[in-house]
Amino acid sequence: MKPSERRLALTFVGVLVLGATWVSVLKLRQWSRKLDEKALQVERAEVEQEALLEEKDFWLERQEFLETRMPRYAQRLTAERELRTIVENTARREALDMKQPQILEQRTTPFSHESGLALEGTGSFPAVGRFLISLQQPSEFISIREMSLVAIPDSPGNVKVNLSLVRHYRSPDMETPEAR
Amino acid sequence: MSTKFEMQQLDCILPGEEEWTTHGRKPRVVCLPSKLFRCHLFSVPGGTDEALDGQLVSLELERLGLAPRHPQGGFSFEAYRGENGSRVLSSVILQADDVPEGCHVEGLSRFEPHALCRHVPKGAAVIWRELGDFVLGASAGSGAASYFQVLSSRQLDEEAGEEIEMILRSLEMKGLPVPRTLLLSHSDPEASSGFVSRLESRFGLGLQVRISPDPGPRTPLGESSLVPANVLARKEERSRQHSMLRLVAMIVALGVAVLALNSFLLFRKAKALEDRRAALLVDADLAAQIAAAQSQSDALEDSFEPEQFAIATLNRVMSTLPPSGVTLKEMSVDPGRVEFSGETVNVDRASEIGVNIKRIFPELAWTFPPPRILDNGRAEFIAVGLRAGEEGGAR
Repeated sequence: MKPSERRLALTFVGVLVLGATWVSVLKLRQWSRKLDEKALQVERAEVEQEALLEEKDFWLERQEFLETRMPRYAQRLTAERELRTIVENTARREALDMKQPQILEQRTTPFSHESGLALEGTGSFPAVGRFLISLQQPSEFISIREMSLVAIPDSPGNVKVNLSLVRHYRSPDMETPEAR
Repeated sequence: MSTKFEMQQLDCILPGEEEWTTHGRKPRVVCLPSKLFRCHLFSVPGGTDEALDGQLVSLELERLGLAPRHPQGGFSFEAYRGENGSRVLSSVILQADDVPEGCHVEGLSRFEPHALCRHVPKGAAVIWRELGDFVLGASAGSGAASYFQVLSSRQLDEEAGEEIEMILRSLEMKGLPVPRTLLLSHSDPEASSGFVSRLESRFGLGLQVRISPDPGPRTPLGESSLVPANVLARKEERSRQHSMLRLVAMIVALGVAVLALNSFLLFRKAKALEDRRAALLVDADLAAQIAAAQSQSDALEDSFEPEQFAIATLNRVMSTLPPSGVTLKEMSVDPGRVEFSGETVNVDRASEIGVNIKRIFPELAWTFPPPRILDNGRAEFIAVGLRAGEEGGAR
């Protein structure tokens, strides 16, 4: 092989080696970047999972409480009637002057059926406070979504209360796998 | 350089009778033709320090104008015992810059004068042919040529006999004993009768001329430094190229090693990551169940968690108000917003509310505009608190 041919061959091999090295470096960097991203995802998942497992007892106890204590949903009318009865009885007990409640459209969320009412009433401020306390007991699963209290200028000490509330029901198909 | 012989056949490239020939399977020595060298003899008196022989040879060659043509090629010499206790110094000087055409020395690194690779019996002179030239070699008794010279004659005739006689007579004058026998390489053309009669004549040297089989090249002990300058230059150039190649190869190997190490580390990292993911999957179902429980609990929290009840919010609002001198006129609560307004007896009381709400409802972003002073000196205030992600001001 002549020196010029050898030089050409060496140059060709050198270019090949350099090219292969460059491609390898790029591939390695790409791989490294992907691994870093995956590592970040795994780390985040580990932290989340660890945090969840640390609070396992707390959340599973709450779940069990909800599974066992939340009222079962039977029918739409039954649910509405139950809620209305609770509201009217409580208002009557606290001597609130309540207008006819307005039934809200029922909703289904991933966690419950919601049967709701919108109501307006008047009464003394302490009576309204007691009404709210009686109405929203943990065992009743009633959420007050909106509440407004307005003082009645002509009647000192009395307030007008407007509430939008829902009661949560659990249907059989919403039970968790463990409960099933 | 020693001219003693190892009795070992030499694998070499040597100048054959007419052309270069290869001796042995794997040639490792180049036997350079005798015409590239000049052999010179001179005697020094007995008692001279032998350690000075090298310097004496050097001075003698310089005096005769036979100094080596390049310093690296150098010369070699051998000392023989002469008559009357004197010593005969035989020196070999390289007189060429390159090997003759046709000698392919690529890859070979050892160079020796061909004459020193031939066996010359004690008390004998030998004639052999190299690339068409006749070469005469004479021994002082060590089995190798102590002196060699290319003959000017192209055939072994009477004239050649005369030339040989002259050479041997001059060697005798320099202290080298005249040989008794002249050996002709068996493949040489038959010497002419004039040649033989000239040398065997009792008025001449009285040599016995006979044909002897060629014993083949032998390995001389030690290595000569008689290497042509151009061959040295080419070797250096090759060496430089090889150094460069070695450097490049080393860099490439280093690069490959770094890449391989990097790949290995990344592979280990990927494997560790897979192991961590597998470990995550072990508790994945339980974690999903807990997450579902958490979501459900969060969604329904305001229906069973007393701290989230409307009355609790109302209590917190009431606790922002000063004990006296304030009238709450209106309050509204919805999931993202708490708003209340009223009147106080003066601005200071209203400002107190503005301070309290941020302490009691730290989770809300509050808007509390400067209280408006009414005609009767009382101050009207309004406070709007929004949860993160909610927008809006006072309605």
